[in-house]
Order: sequence, then structure tokens, then C-alpha cells
Amino acid sequence: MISKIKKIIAQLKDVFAIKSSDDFLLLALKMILITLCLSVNGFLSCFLIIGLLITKVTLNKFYWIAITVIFFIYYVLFNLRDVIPNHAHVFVLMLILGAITVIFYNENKDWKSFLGTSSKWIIGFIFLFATIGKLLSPDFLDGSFFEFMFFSDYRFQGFTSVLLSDQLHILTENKQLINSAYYIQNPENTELFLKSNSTIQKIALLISYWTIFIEGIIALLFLLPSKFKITKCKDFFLLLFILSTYPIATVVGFAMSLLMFAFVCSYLKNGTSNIYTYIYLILFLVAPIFYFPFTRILNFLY
Amino acid sequence: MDTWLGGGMRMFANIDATGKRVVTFNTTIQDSVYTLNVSNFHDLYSWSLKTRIMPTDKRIQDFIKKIESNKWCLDENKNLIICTDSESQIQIKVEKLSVFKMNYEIQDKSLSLESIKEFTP
Repeated sequence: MISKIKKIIAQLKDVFAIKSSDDFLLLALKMILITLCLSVNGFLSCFLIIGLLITKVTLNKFYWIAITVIFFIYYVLFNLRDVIPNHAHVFVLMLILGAITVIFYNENKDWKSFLGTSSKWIIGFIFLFATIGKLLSPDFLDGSFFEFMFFSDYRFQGFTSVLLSDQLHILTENKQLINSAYYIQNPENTELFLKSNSTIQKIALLISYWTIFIEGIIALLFLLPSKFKITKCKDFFLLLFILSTYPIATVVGFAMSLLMFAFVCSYLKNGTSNIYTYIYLILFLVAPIFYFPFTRILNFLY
Repeated sequence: MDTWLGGGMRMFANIDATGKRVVTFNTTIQDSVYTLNVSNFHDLYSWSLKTRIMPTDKRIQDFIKKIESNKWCLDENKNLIICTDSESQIQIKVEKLSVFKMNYEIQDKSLSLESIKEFTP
């Protein structure tokens, strides 16, 4: 039995094996293109698909310069999207990272150092800004943000149902109250009162401080120089964050960006794959699984 | 600006977000002051997006022009509605436009709307 499992693992390793640095670069660039393809306006995907299908195009610097210019014209020059959320800013970083990496590759410069260091710093600064943002928010520090999200955000409602167990009417009533707040004619003089329980309040506070802890530690571990031994734990904490966050707060585009940067960092650390490299790659491939209603199934079972 | 926008990575930190902001406007018709919430008007709600994202004077002024360009009339209950019947159409003048954000106090579980911008043309 054990030998069979070992054989399967060896076969899987062979399937996902990265045999050369060119293979790795192609994979990383395609991960960038896939993430963008799944996240941007359908029309823009036309320009990304060609890079996914034709290897010579994927590694062509003029292609990457062209798509960067097209995206700049669409989003910045003509401002054809009113809402540019934070993960769209991360997509821009990915695109510019891909473009410069390919230029370095074509010019025989040290693209590995550039790609690896940039990816590490991008992860570090994303989590640093996220942690600072939370520390500066009174809503977050007292737990009111998460308590409110549990009732107002549909992505948390499976989880909230599990916490409320036989008090599900609280969720329904609160949803109706919150919904009514959007249509109030005299907002200045209106105050609504939601219902909750001590479990929800405690979990909200716990999750708030857990989030600050994990995001802060990821920021620290990715921004510290590699000579500090503690940075060896960075993949563990990043993976813990991804697996504990995205099944509930499904922001798949952002998750895929993070997995791409993490995959790059993990491989380029020693120029070879390790267990985390494979995990990040597999999670990237199955990222849309985060849309699966895990907490609703939990609620159904319990 | 909404914490989900601007690239600051401050999302999942504040209750306040574009989708949780409310816009109301005041107008006087036949000596009665009307306060209307744009959420009750589908087209107006879509047009209010830029105002809700970042309520600058310019964006609010542009939105007020859109509000005033609509065909308004009073229904049988004297409620102000958007109508297609040009005979009973009323030209309205927006006297004040307000943008509110949601506030949740964990101590008493109260949900209120706090004004973040008031604009008088």
C-alpha cells in the first residue's frame, strides 16, 4: 500500500516536474496570463490567449510590451472601468513584472533574481499594507467589522449559519434589517438594532486578531532578508493564510496572484522545486475550487 | 475612498465600502420638501456609483445634473417618482445631496448611517 502511494506521488512529481529554468519561466508567465484572462474584461482576453497558446509569443518581449500598452490605454488613458479594486492593482504589478522579466530574459540579464526578489517584495508589501490598514481601523480592532460581515456578506453566511446553529432566525432578521438600511429615506434619524450572540462576538474578535497576526507575520517573513532563519517558515504561514481565508472570503483572482508570486519565490529560492512549489502550483490550478460552498456543506452536515 | 479601491490593500478592514454607501437628495415641490434615497431608483443608483466611490464636488455636481435631467412627477399619493408621461412632468432642482456610510457599533449592535459628505449647489 505504502509503495503504491509512493509510486503515485512519484508519478505526480513527474507530471508537475519543472525540468529547466526555461520551463519554469514559461510556467510563471502562463500563470500571469491565466490570472489576467480569468479576471479582466472579455475583450482584453483576446490579447492574452495568444500568449497562452504559442510559446514563442509567451517569451517574446514585444508581445509583453504590447499587452502592457493595451492595458494602459484601456484602464489608465481612457479609464474604461470606473471601479479598479485592489486586486486589479496587483494584476498591473504582475503584468509589469512579466514584461520586465521577459525583457531581461531576451537580453540575457539576470531575470531570475529580478523575478524572485520582486515577487517576494510584492507579497511582503501587500501583507504589510494590509496589516497596517487593519491596525488603523477601529472597526477592525474591536471586532465590529467581522461581526457585521458575518451578517451582511453572502460569502460568510454559510459560516455564520454554523455559528448560529439553532438561532438561524437571527441571520434572516439581520439580513432584512441591513437590506432595509439601503432604502431609508431619512438616514440621519435612523438607527437599527441587529441581533447577535456571545459566540459570534467572540469569534469575530478572534478572527480579527488572527488576521492581524497572520498577515503581519507573512509581511515580516517575506520582507526580512533570507539570512534570518525564521524566514524558512514563510511558506508555511502563507499557505495557512491561503487555506484559511479563500474558502470563506472568495477573491479568486487575488488568490491566484498570490499563488503565482509564492510559486515563483518558492522555486527561485534554490533554483529547484520543493514541496511548497508543487502545492502552490496545484492550488493555482484548482483555485476556482474556492468558490465551492464549504461552509454551507458544513452547515448541511451539522 | 472605498477601502477596496486605490491599491492600498486596506480591504477587509473597514465596514465602509462603495456598496454600503447611501446617497439621498432633497428637493422642494409645491412647498413640500422631499428627501429621496437614490437606492429606490434603479437607474439613479447605477449613476451614483462614482459619487459613492469618492464623493468629490465635481462627481456630485455631475450626478445632480443627471438627477435633474430625469422626468419626474408626483403619483396619486404625492410621492415623487420618475415618470414617462411628459404631461405631468415636473422639473426638479436638487437643493442638497448627501452621502452616508454605514456604521456598526458592536457594544449595542446599532446600525446607523453617518453623513460623510453634504453638498449644496
